[in-house]
Amino acid sequence: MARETAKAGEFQRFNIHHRIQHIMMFSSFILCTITGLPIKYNGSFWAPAVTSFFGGFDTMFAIHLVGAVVMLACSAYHLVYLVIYPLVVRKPATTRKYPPAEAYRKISRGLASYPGLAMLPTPKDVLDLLQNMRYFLGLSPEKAKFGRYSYKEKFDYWAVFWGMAIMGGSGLMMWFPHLAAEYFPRWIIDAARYAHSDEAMLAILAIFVWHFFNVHFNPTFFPMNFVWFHGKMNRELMEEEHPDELRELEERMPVATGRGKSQVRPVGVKNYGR
Amino acid sequence: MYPYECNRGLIILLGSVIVLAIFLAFTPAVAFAEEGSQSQKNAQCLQCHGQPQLSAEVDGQKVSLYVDQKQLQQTVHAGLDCASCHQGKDKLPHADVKYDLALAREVQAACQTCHAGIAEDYKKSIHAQTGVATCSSCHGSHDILPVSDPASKAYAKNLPETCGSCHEKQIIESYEESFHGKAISLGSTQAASCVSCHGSHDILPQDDPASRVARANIPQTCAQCHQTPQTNFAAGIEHFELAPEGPGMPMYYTFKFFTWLTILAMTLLIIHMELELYRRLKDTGRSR
Repeated sequence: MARETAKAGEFQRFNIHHRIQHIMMFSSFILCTITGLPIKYNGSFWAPAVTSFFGGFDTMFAIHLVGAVVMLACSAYHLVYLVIYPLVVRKPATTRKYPPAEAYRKISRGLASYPGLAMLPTPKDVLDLLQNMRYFLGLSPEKAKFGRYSYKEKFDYWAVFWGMAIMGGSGLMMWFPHLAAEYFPRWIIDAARYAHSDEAMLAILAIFVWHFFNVHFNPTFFPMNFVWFHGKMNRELMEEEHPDELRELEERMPVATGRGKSQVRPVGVKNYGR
Repeated sequence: MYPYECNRGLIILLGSVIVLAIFLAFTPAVAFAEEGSQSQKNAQCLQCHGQPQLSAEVDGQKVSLYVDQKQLQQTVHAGLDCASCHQGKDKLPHADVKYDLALAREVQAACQTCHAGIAEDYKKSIHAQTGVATCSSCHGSHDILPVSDPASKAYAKNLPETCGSCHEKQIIESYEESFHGKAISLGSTQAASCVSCHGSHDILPQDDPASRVARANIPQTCAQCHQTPQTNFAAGIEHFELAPEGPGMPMYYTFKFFTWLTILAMTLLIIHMELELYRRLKDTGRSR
């Protein structure tokens, strides 16, 4: 299947930053899961075995903190990327040639197509969800047509965003309790420990059940959707998963590749296709 | 081959003397000086107390008087006479026989002969003042082991159980749920056990101003491990109960919130997955 459509063209769905961030996130996530679960379920029969595998509690906990540092670095990377990348890609100089109203129009059009903003929830996501429900139940012959990001992907993204705030915040509070105590009463730090342990459980379940179903066990992708590795998606899969985005991209393609009009090239296309 | 063959006998004799001398040099003197007498005296005691069925009736309760010799041999006190701890029991029938706490207090007096410094500390403690917790309460008796031995009653990992045999269950459970407790239960050598904060032989109650856990002293006690004494860090209830009321309330509702968030989120996600699979299954059937 992949070979046939490879000729029809591939789309660069995730750039190198996306992919590095995802690799940092999942490796630290797995590390923190393995070294964290024995602490949550310290009374279980397997907890001492996992602990001794790491060479005792103190080493295991140190590795948990290493995972935490990688994960925090990953989210810092992502936040910086969100701000810096559009500035670099948009090339603001090109808009200076236009009168302000025109420039504003171009910037806002550019912003709308900026992948980072495409992650913001819209009313269409709710309609897409309802449409998919109808489709799943056999009440409609068509499934929802997604743009750059489906509601599932948006959910995953914001779940991680929220999760990072909870896990990172509570984790840092426990790591530096003497510092945290300068700003918060003791019960906040104690409550943060419960938040850390229970939000972790939610994240672990969501990732290993829901996310793994979507990208591993789903019949379309089994054993794995390799987009995390090469960042590419072929046309057939784009039609299946992101038809609205595909249409939009193809509408823009001639503009993006046309030599004479390259200055008004919409933002983000460089990121998208080739 | 052997020009000194005539001296072979002499060589063997000399060799034997050297081997014997080396052997004797590395043999502890106790083996000769005391082995006979100690095991003899203990054997006398164990003639009766080595019988598993030996018991007495005290206040209508059957009390076993059996001493497991094998267990005794594995303890840190294996080299001692029975009489080192049980003094004045050399006549039969034994004079002034005591049981339970009275027995523990009697034996405790003998502990001081070797552990004098610790006995000084202990005398200041609330355990000594109230007289209800003796040496053997925390260290055991015929199963006494060094504190560094993981099987010891006073080993960090076993302290919740040892202290919990007298102290409030809720306090112990709260500790076991805490990060300190979890780390210790998995064998951490750095986390705080009961005695890290409360002290051991000189333990005092919280309302005693000299106590390590008296309100004013808590920051200093935390600072044994955590950076710099912290008033805010030390303020608050350490052994809270995870309950909708009282000091554990914020933790209780945090716990409840995340539990229900997890149940809700996972239920919806699983429904979504199941519905998708249902549709895929139906489509598969149709295309065949």
